[in-house]
Amino acid sequence: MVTIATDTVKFSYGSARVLYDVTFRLETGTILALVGPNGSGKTTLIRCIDRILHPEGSILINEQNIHQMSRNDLATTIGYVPQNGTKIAAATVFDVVMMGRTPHMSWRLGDVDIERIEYAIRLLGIEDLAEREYNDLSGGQQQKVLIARAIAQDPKLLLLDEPTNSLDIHHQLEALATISDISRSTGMTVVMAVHDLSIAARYADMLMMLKNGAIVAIGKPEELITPDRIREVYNVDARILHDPEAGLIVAPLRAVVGGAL
Amino acid sequence: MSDTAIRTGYAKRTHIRILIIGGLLALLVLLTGIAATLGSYPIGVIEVYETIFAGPGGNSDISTIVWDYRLPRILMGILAGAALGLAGAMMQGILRNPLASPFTLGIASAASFGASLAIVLGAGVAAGGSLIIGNAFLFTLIAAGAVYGLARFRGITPETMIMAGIAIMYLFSALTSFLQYIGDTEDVHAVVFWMFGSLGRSTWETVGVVAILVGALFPLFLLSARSINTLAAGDEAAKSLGVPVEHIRIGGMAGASLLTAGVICFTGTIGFIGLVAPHITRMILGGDNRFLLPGTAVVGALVLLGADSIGRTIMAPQILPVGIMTAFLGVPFFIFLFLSRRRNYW
Repeated sequence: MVTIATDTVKFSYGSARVLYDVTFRLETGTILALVGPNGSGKTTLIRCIDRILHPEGSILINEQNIHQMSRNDLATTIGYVPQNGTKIAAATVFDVVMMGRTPHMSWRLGDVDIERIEYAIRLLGIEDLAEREYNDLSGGQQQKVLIARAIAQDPKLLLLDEPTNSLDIHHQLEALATISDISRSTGMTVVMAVHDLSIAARYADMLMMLKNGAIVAIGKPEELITPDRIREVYNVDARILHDPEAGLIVAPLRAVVGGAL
Repeated sequence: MSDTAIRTGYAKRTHIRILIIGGLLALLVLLTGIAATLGSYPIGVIEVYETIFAGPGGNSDISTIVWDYRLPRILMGILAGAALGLAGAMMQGILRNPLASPFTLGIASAASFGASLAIVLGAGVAAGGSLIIGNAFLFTLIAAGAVYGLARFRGITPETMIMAGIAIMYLFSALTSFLQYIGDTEDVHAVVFWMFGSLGRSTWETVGVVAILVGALFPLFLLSARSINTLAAGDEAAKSLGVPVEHIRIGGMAGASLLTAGVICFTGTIGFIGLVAPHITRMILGGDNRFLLPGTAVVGALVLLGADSIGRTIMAPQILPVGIMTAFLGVPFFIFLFLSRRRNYW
């Protein structure tokens, strides 16, 4: 299982700096939620950790710099669920989940590969879609397929970019409970960008609040989520409620006038 | 659906795909026999197979006709169809674009220019009879190199490669038109005839060259099939799944260009197969490149050999150029499949 440690990670798109000195350490099995307004650098940070982008500074997975790892080693370690929206032509749901086995399988699909594909498909409850064309599915169904693909990859670190943005509340709870269960039972470390603070607080062990590419705060959700901090990060007045079952709930009240992000 | 249903579903689909490819191969063997009976000298199907199995060097007229005249043409049809189909499937896969083919990316128009240069100006890289072949081959590779070089500036993505390919296609088309404009009537006629595409110039030597090319590149294509499958998920997802995206894209483009160059320098431009054979196969077998690539090779061979066989007989003793026949035959079949498929295959 893996720890992540980053040291002063900086990234720019051309002259536009989007990440400033991001330094944090995450222990094995932790679920970290990245929260923050649009453009705060959540997706960029995730893409840096998966070496899709090449930032300054260092990112260590189990104390090894990701730039010294082969692409295939990285792929057997890190699973990445991008925001859905990419069409995948001429591929069934089975085919797409099978892609998760790319770093593991030989030319032929072996028994272990099929077992893992079945496991992922069953876990996400998409058995009935297995032979459907991926492009024919709804956004929410596609999102589940992409999560199943990452589960089939058998990663030790799972990166998810807004994994629930196409899901209804039923499927949001289901998908996040599934990810959280896997993390608890296998020690898989999870980093996910999430917009819904209540969902983030409920499923994450740690929260990282980002604004304008820099870390505002990192810590346990109940310590981090306060009306003042939500105002600081989002320019929104909010009330924090506590429900015995749902836990911490963030109720946004109003956008602060003149508080352009 | 239970676990076993997922597993057996996959096993069943795999078996069906292998059976279909086997069936198509059997059809190709049959068509080869039939094609060898066609011509002004009547030979029966059984006689043809007997002659083929007896091997070359027989003393009879039949042996000479089959081995020296008909088989080179037939084998070239099979190999050229397979090569062009493979090239198209590879390009469509690595560029994630259903319109990608050796033609839409300027490779074939570069070959036409190379051939025109040899025919009209007599200028080129080889001597004598090889001038047209050498030029067509060279310019095909120049076009592929130019597409790569242009795309390199903006990153090797499907979009940059297709934009570069289309630019190169128009450039070489214009250059060919210019040569036709300044050339004399006889030369222009020869250029136009070359651009129709024909298997009539096939010899055992040219068959051998194309066979070596296909034999060397087909296994490499097959080896990359899994990576090309994953590439369909997008560059970022594929990278994240361990696919060396740029290597696969550059290697695939180079392989497809080489196959195309190796064929059309001998046959002239045979259009359409590279575009349509992969689509026909994808509609029948689905998008998994591990089956799509071999399937496309067989379908490409079937379409090209079928088209040439009909082209040789329909207006006999006149032979219609195979480039024209492939479109006449392939387009209606393609449209039929396209309209009759409800499934969103691309």
